[in-house]
Amino acid sequence: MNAPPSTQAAGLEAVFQQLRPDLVRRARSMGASDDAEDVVQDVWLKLQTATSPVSNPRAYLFRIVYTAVLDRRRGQRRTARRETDWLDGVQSGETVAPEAERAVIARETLQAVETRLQDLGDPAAAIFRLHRIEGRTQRRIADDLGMGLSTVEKHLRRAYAALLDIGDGQ
Amino acid sequence: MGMTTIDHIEREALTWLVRVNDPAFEDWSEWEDWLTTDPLHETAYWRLAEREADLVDALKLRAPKSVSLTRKTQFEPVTFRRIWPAIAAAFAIALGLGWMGWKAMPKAWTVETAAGETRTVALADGTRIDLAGSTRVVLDQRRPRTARLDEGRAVFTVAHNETSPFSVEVGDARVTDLGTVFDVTRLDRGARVVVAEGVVRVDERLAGRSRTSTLLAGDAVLVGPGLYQRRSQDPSEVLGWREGRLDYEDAPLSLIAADLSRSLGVPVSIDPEVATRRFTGSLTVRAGDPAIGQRLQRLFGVSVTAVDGGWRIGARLAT
Repeated sequence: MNAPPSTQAAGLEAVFQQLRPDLVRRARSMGASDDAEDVVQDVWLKLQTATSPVSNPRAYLFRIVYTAVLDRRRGQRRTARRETDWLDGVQSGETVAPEAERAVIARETLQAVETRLQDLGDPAAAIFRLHRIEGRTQRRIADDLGMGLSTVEKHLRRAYAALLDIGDGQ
Repeated sequence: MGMTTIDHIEREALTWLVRVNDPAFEDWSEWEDWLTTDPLHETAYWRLAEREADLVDALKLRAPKSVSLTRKTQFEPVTFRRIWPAIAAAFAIALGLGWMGWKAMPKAWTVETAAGETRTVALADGTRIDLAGSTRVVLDQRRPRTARLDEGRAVFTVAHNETSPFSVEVGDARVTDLGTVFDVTRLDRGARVVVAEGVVRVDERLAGRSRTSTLLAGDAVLVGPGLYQRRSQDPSEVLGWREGRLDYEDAPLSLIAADLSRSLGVPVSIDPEVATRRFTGSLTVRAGDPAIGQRLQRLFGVSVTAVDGGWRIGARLAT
C-alpha cells in the first residue's frame, strides 16, 4: 500500500497530464459543455484505480472520457424524467442513489430485452452477448466463430437495430 | 417486427455506435468530426448510445459471474492420461496399427458406466470426457473429433482445434465445440446441454427443418421434438454432479428424478401429478444412502416410497 507507483501507472498519469487540455476540449465537443472539467476530473479519479496494462494510453483515456460523458448524459436524462414525472403529479419518492436507480430500470427492461434477443435468434444474439457483455472484440469473435469481420459487424448491427427497435438500414 | 423507415442520420449514428462499442476502437477523432458536423448527429448518436447502454446494463444483471473452474484438483492425474494416448498414438503410427495395441481394434469403441458409477476418459487429442452413471459414449477411430452420447450424461472438456472442431451427437442433436467445457444429457426425447466455459453450437435435425442454437458459458438449453427451453445456469454448478452434488434452478421434478436415478443407480419413477413441480436448490447424493428417501420427502414436499429396488415419487399423503 505504501509501494511507489508502478512504471505503468506513472506513465499513464504522465500521458493524462499531457493530454489534459485535449481531453477537456473533447469532453466539451462530445456535449458535456459545462461539465467538461468535472468529467476530466472523474477520468483522473478512475485512473487511480486502473490496474491492468494499457496498450494505447491515448485511446484508453479517450474511451474513459467517452464513457464518463455517456454516463453523465444517462444520469441527466433520468433526472429529467423524474422531474417530468413530478410535474405530472407522479410521486417519485425520496432521492434514490444512482446505482439503485439504475438497478430498478435494469430489472424492468430485462424481460423485454431477453425477449427481443430470443426473437432475433443466433448467431446475432450470441454475438451481441459475447461482444457487449463479455467484452470480446469483434476481431476476436470473428476468429473464435470462424467468421469474417464484416459478417460479425453485420450481425451486431442487426442485433442493435432489433434491440433499439429501429431499422438497420440494410 | 414491421418495417421501420430510418433516416440516413440515424443509420450513420448506428454505424458509429457499433464501431465505438468495440473495445478495440481507436478512431476517436473521426468519430468526433462526424459528431460535431451537425447537432442532429449529436442528438441521434446519444439517443441510441444511451438507450443501448441501458439495455446492456439490464442484460448484465442476468449474465452469470465468471467462474474459474478448479479443473486441476478434480482431474489428476491428467498428465499421465494425456501422455499415454500420445505415446500410444505415436507407437501406432510407427507400426501402422490401431492405437490401442497389436490386434486390429474395432473402429467404433464404446465407453460405458454402470449405474451409480462415474468414469473419466481422455482422448488422444487431449479432450476429456467425464461420464456419469448409466452412461454410454461411443467413439469412432475414423472420426476422431466426434463422440456419440447414446445414453446418460457426460461433461466434455474439449481440446480446442479451430480447423477440426469437436462434436457430440446426442439423439437428433449435434453439439459442436467452439472452445468449451460443456455438459450433455441424453433425455427420453431430446437432450440437455449446459455450457460451463466457452461457446457451443447445437444443431438439431427436426421433422422437416433444422434448428441451430449458439450457447455461451452460463447458458443451458433443453431441446427435442416439440421442446425448446433456454435458461441461464451458473457455470460453477454445471459440474457439481461430479462431486455428488446436483444443482437446480427452477427445474421440473421429472428431470431431477432422471438425474437421481443415474446417480443412485436405481430406478426413480415419478407420478405425473408431481412431475411438473419445480425445484431450486442443491442435492447431495450418494449411492446407497439409506436416508435419501426421507431427505427427498422433506426437500420436495412429496412422498417417496420404496418400490422394485428403487423409489417412486408421488404427491404428499394427506395426514
